Amino acid sequence: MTTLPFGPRNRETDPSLAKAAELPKEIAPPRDLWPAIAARLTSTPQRTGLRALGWPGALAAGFLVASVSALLTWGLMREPEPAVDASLAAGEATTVAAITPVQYGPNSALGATELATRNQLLAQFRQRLDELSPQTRQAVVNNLAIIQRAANEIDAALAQDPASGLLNELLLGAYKQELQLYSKVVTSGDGPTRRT
Amino acid sequence: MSTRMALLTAASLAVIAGPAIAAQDISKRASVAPDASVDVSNVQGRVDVTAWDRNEVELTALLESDEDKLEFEATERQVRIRVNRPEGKYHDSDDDAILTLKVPKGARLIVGTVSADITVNGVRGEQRLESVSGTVDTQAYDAPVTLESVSGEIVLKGNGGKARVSTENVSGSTIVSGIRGGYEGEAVSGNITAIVAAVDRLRAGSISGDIEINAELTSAARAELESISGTVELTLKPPVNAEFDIESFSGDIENCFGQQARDKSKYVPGSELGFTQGSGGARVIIQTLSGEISLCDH
Repeated sequence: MTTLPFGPRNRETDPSLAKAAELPKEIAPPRDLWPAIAARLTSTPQRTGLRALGWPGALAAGFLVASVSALLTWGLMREPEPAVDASLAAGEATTVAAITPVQYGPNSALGATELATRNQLLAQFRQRLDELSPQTRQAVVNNLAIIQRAANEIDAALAQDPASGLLNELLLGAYKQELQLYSKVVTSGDGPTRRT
Repeated sequence: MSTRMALLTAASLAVIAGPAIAAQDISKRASVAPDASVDVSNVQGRVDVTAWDRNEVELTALLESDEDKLEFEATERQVRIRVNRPEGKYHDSDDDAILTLKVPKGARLIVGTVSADITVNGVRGEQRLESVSGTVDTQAYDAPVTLESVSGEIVLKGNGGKARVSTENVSGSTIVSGIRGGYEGEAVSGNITAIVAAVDRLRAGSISGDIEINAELTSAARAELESISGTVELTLKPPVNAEFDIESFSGDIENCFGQQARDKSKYVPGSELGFTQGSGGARVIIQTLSGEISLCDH
């Protein structure tokens, strides 16, 4: 019977140790972990959603609150909406109904609360969009798609570097642009389209 | 004249006279304060505003549709002009409403349109001009100017004054030149082109639109340029005394001042470039996701 010399006392002949010796001395992590660790060390335990983004998040949240407040006030102050032109409704309802808000991926720090608040704007946005000319409406839809692509790109980048300040700022920039687009459509031409 | 001929003649006259009867030519005038607020809204057609030396507002309106209704309300402090269009005909009509206004130089101007183009000449008061799809074309002096559009082009020419100019556009292009106070511009896919002199505040952001800025920065200036996928090109007038903080996740960074961008980390994508040119003072921050960044002084 042959006894294989395993164990640290038999380094030269132990086949497992010989294999292990072939492995690299260091294995670099797939990404730089320190920024995420540092961020966690300096953050408060309950930080979620936009709060995790610090002051840029606070700014965006402030903008959101101001936008929602202004738009809801605008909605209350505005004259009652007459029925949408039948020809428009028949021919273009599909476009308006098909519009969905920008979907932010799993790596974004935008929480359900912020996005739910944003979604409150959508009813007004959709109603207002219906009143725009087909060309302008198409421009709005196209630009929402552009923001969606940007959000996808940022999310993919965040998967590689979740703690990146750059990416989180760009994400907030995209989110802000989305809100501004809704706001612009909701309030644009308010006076002129107020009908007799 | 036969009956048939008479009918044909009458029909021809009706065709010729039709548009003339339908169109409305309206003139209004009001005495106002030199800094009165003039608030104009129109749906389709044009709004042309020219400043003059009189403390009066003069309106000449041509409404091509006899269904449009013009409101003109004036006090010493405020003039309100509004074209009201019947329900269902506010954006699918071929009838334009052309409003030509003369206002005091110092008037505060607020104009909102759907597809009507807005042109303003010589107004030195504060301006807030908004159009959904019409072109917005104005000048800036020392008072703040805010311009907004969804798909229309925005053009602003400064006269060397210290106006603070703000533009927001979605898909239309924005061209701003000749201002000294400060500029803030935002767009989604529209391009932003700005030539600004000695500004202390400069900010531009886009999603996919390109940003091209020619600027002279004051010693205390702060410039922030940001795009997701659009190219950002900043050309600074020498001598340049500024600190630069430039970062891109995957876009190239070109710098004609000589310093090279370096990888941000060994393990994640991204490059950054930070340096001080001259004596510093001004601060320049540029960020993109995939957009290329170009920085130069010529």
